[in-house]
Amino acid sequence: MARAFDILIVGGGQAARRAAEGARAVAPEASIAIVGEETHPPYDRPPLSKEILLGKADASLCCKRDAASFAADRIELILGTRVAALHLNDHKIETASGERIGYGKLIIATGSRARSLPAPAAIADKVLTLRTIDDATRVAAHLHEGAHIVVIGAGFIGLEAASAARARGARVTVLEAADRVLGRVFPIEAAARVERLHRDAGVDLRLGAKLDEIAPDGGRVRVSVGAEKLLADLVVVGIGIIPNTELARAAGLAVDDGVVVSAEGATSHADVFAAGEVTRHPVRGASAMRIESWQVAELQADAAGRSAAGAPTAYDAIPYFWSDQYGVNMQMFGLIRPDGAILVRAAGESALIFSIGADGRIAGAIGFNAGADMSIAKRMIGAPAPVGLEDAATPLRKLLRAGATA
Amino acid sequence: MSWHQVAQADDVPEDEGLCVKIDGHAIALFRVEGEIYAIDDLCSHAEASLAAGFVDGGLIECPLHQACFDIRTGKVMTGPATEDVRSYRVKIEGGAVLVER
Ligand code: FES
Repeated sequence: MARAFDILIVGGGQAARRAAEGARAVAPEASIAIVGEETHPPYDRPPLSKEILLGKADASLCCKRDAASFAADRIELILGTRVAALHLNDHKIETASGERIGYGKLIIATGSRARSLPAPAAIADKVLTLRTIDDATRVAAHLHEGAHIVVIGAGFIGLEAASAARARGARVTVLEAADRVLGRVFPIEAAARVERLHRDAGVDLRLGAKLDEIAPDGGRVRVSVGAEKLLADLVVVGIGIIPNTELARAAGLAVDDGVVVSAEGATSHADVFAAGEVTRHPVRGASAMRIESWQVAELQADAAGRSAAGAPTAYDAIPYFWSDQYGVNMQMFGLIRPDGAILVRAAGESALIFSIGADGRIAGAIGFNAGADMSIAKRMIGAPAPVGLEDAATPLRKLLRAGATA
Repeated sequence: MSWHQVAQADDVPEDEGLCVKIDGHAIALFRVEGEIYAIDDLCSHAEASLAAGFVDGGLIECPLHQACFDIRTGKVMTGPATEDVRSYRVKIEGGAVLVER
């Protein structure tokens, strides 16, 4: 007999779990299923590039719930199953094996996949991306004293991998094609701090490095950069992720980089919602964005799940992101305005870097070991930048209060 | 379980936490609407001191990744933490704060 669910979620990651939980919270009776390609129950990714690589924890740290817990909540897991097509007019999805599963409401939570680099088969097990539990377990196995790890791409994933590899005693070279790290996210003032962090930790960080070839070399990997050849025991490829929008696009949904959704997570098609980092959703202070973060997978997905289950819920959080490298905590709230000004408030090891919009308002803040000031900075976003913001001797809390009463 | 004197009530500030130790175990004291509460200082997500976090009414925001806990109960309100932190009974005697552990 053909299966059908009131709420069917395509994609098996954190956003899928959160969408299911959101739906369950408002629809206790609904039948809910998650169709995931991986064989693991949904898991959270942040620990993959942090605790797991550091060897501080195993994969279970990523799993907020096990299969039994999903079952107890009557969320059916259909795992190891690739979805081949969405038949929106029939309210059905089709799996790669040809099964058709019906739905009342569909939630697309297909997430993203790592962009990879072509490598000869002989070294395919030594040129790895870092996206799944299996990836992280494989990478972690290579991180040890004396190993040489070449990281390609100085984005957050690559830099967190570098940090973990150094912590485990490996020699690390980071190759970045741009002339700075974190080019897509951090302003130069913040990026420079991150670069210093890595160099101080002994990473051979090469900016403007043009990768020519990756080839086998006597059981190791030869990475050619111009005239130079680097011999690596492992190459970690961190050159970005690609949103999995193909199913949505093929089904005729509006896609613009991500699957276009309203604040409630509704797509351009009735009865179809989208959740997590595959979405392009409205963002406070911007038009709409696709954002790769834990927060989006956690909270936007929850809202989309509730909306799909009949309780329209808007997602309107200030964008938030964190990373921990070499024991330094980095957090970011809001947006960095390329057309605005940057204001640095630094005291020793800790710093807050504010992005001030052309309108004089605080658009975003990046903190390095900023502690509770980060919470205060969050509350300042959208407000006019107070006089003396860069003066670390004036407690931020005082400026917040002054702003509130002004 | 027994009662331990950990601080003077006057030492617990209004909008910040105070970290105290009982047999080496860190406990965070907070004041909410005049009442003093005690929860585990260590965030249930990673290595952060909740006493160093930001107090917003009855909630404490973790300084590392913004998980939020109810100061009165230790219940986790938002992630990335998923587990509650333990909360302890508190009594005030002659201006001193006693915590049961
Ligand atoms: S350590 Fe508290 S939220 Fe991560």
